[in-house]
Amino acid sequence: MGIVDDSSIVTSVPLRHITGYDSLLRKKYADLLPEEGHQYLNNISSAAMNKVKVLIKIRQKDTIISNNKRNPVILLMGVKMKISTKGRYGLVALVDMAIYGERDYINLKSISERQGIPDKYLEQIFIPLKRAGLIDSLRGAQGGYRLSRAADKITVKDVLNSLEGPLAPVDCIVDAKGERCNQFDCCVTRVLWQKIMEELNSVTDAISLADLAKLFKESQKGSIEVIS
Amino acid sequence: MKVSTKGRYGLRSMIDLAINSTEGHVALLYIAERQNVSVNYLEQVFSILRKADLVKSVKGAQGGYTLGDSPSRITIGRILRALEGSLSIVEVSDSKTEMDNSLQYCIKVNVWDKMTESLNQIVDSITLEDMVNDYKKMNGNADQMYYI
Repeated sequence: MGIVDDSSIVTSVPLRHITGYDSLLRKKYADLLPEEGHQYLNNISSAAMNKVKVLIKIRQKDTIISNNKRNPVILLMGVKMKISTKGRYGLVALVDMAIYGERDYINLKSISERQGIPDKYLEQIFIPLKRAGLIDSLRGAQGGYRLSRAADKITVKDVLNSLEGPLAPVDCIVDAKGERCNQFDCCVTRVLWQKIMEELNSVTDAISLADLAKLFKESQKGSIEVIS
Repeated sequence: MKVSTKGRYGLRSMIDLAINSTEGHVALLYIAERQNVSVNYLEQVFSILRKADLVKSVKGAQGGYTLGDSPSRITIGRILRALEGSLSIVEVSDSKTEMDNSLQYCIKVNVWDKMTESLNQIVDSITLEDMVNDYKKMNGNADQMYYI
């Protein structure tokens, strides 16, 4: 299967040489060439150019499944790593719950008021958080939401993974097969994206909601002291 | 951090150039063909790279591009920042800065800034030379890869 890919690279080079040589010939010896000579060069050049175009098209089509280790195409897939509003507000809401609710059920409206996040928006964010088992809810007058386990057992990574998916800059490093491209085995930039993901995983896994709640409480103490 | 097409193709082309320019200048046409991107587009990308001194160009028949510095001194971070601007993990809120005592600020300092910092540390610790070496290792015999 790699033959198509390989040959498209190998053959396009001499083809380009042919067209280049033809144009040089014509530039230098245009006057000396008879009509048939021009015709001949034209035919060769356009045939070579057409072949190059075909080869490029073949390669552009993603039909080549290649394990060819010598394939010089270096792939870099789309990077989507910016944390969205969903992830940011979700984390704020959960740390708010860690600070003010601990393990009690708290009203969504009170989180909304304290953090200035619309409650309709919070409702949406809480659906995937609940699905991921990070929070549970209780209906009724005394109801609301609470963290499903102790705040030091929930890390930033847990929250971001449930709201943003894996912290993968590219899909091919987390998707078992679906997003794998034909260069998967020899893609050099994949190593880079994997390093980035591992690093972001370890940074976010080291911070728990309890850590953030504590840091926030400490920062509040500081500001009160400054005031008094 | 969100790397655009420009950044992706830019990085790809820089690796391509590092591999292929060891024996002279490389015409954009060849990079374009190998990386499956139009020459016009690469020209735009390379004008940015040139302004950042990441590549050098020579005009003429034997002309083309080479790296502006040795591959061991060009970090991935430098390439991505030249093409993308600063690399941060969250959108930088320019207009309204959060109050210093808000929870959002506390999370910004302790989570988002830390993530951004480690992201930048990684891309700054990896050079173009590292990428080329990885590439050669992955591809086995490096001498036979290129014909151009």
